[in-house]
Amino acid sequence: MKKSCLLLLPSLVFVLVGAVDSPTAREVMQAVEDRDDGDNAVMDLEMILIDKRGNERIRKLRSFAKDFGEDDYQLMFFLAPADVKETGFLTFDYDDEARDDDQWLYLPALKKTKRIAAGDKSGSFMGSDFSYADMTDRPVDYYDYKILDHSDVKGVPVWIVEAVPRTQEEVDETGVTKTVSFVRKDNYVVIRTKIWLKKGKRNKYFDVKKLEQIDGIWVATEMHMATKKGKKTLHRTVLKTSNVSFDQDLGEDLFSTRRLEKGL
Amino acid sequence: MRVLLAVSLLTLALAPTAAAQQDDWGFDDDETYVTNAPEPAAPEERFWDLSGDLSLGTSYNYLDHDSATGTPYGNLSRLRAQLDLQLDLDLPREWKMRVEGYGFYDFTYVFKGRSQYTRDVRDDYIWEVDFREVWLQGRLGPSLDWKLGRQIVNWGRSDTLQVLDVLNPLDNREPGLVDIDDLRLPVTMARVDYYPKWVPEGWGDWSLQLLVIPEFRQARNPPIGSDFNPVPIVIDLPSDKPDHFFDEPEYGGSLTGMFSGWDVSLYAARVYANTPAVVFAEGLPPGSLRHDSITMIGAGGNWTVGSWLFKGEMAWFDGLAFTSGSSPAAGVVRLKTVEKSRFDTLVGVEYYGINDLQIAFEVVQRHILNYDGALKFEAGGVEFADAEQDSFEAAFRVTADFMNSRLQLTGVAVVLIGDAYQGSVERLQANYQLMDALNLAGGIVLYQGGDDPYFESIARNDRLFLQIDYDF
Repeated sequence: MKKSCLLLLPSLVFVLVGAVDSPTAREVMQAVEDRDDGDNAVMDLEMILIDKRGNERIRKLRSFAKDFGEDDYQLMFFLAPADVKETGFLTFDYDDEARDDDQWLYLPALKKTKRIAAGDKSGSFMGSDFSYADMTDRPVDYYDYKILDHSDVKGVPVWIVEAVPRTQEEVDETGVTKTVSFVRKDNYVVIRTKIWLKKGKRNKYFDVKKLEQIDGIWVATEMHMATKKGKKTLHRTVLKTSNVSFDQDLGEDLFSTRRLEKGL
Repeated sequence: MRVLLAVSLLTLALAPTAAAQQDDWGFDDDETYVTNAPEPAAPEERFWDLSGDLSLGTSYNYLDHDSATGTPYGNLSRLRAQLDLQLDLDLPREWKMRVEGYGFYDFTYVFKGRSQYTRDVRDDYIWEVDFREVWLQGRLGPSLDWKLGRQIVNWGRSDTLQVLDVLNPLDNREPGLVDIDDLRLPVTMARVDYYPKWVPEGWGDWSLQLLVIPEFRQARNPPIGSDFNPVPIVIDLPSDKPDHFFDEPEYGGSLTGMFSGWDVSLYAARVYANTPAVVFAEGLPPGSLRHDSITMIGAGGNWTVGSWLFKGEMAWFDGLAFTSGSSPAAGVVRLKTVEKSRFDTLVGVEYYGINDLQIAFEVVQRHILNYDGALKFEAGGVEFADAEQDSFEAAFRVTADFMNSRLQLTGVAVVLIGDAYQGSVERLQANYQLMDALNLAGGIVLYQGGDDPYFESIARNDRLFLQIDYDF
């Protein structure tokens, strides 16, 4: 099935990697793509934003996600901090690249649902080190791949795969010039990615710290994304998922502006 | 267990200031960073939730000026402590209830003395306790929702200018400064929303909304004696304000279709003007204040293309009261109230294509139909105009996030243009998140005078503002 945005964040790294040029790399990535990640999921997300002085801010959300054919629908409600509580975000991420995503934001201060345009995907997601591009699918054909090496992370064998966007347009849209990902050989989960950013000679480092099997599906329950310039960490985000459940009865009605306005 | 304990202690000793050990690719070693945040827990299941906001806000008028009644308004003009509380209840059958209220006290009047302010100002600005939204909502089957009580329904596509947003009156007591949370005043409505399931797939998602509004509530405008009110003397005029629920309720309805990339809505409403018109019989003095019964029929829509959002609103209003004048004899002006129709058109665009930046521009034209030249008249050598045939308002807004959304800068400008430049309001604001739920906001509001006598009267009202908010 297609990888959905917050459904299984490790997959975002795969998505950044894209298509493969060598048969071996393609087989690896096809296995990652084919890995079961559930048709729908409900989970709580906690984003801990940490600045370079170690000051922390916490964002909490509840996420509902479901695949409708090849399209991904997602509904998120902010739970904390209190000043953004009740804010809701509904997105329809279409598989058809010619079709713009539909996005709505419910703003409790304005008491209205506001349609928003799909913005620059290199922008920060909720002030975190994750970008919108990290959270959504990228077309697999937009990248060139090669396997750089075979190694291990924490004693687990991995493939190290490099991906380079094929077009400047893709670089401009995602803000990414290159990625190198570490794919576990035993379960085809991407557990680390180094991302080269177009802006400011910076890198981002995605690192899965906790990986669990829930209902038979591999889920990263703690991920770190650090933005660095050289060896200096500029900002870091810790993303934790909890209360994860798959295969819930999530009807199409849930993914509607009606529900967005009514809240949890 | 000993190993785990040792690792934990080592982790605590290293985090978060320890220099990260990095591998060849630049990844930190596993145990070089831990957060102070507690582990996520299972959500607490309870049927109630109490939240709120405690704030202290101040305004400083750096240009000395007096109100039309002579009250000096230089220096400190607001030092307000405010508490907002919101109680939400989850009831059986998926019903929900909300009770929201607030109270504020402004210490400015303690420091500067109450006696120099008019009674109306003291009544409006020193302290206030009131409810905001108070409602009960539920479902009547899978396709029908209802909501009863004091609530806000915002029909507008615009975030800054008003065409379709006619249901809730506004709090204009401090133009350009009222927090967006508090701008609209909730009114009691009985509302049903119908979401038909029988619409064929591919024909969009449709909803029908019907409203009955038994409570009439006036807009909160600056009282006489405020530096935002240019009237120098108190004139008590009888008002036709409907006092009783269900005396003559307001009505409204909308039909909305949502499609991929665009949406469209049709609206109709019969509402009272939230700000009264002064009704003139033949001659002088004015007779009474009248809240016109206005019919509105309109439409609105959005359309997205890439990073662009285009929006539009249009509405026809009937029953608007205007003052016309004639001079049958030298030195004599006869004033009378006439009813006119008006057609408003709004177009706007928002751009989301730049990292952490949003830009919006909106413009509205208000065109009076069957315009009567008598709406412009001359008395004592001074030209009066209750309304130009065409007037324009333009709003420009830029919002930029910095420091991973810890700092947000906003610039807003609203300009009014009739036959000539009428006046404008600009606000520059910075919001800084000190820590979770503790926010500091500060900025400046500038009022620019022009041909419009009102804007000219508030041209020295520029002020700096600062507010700290704790949300819980």
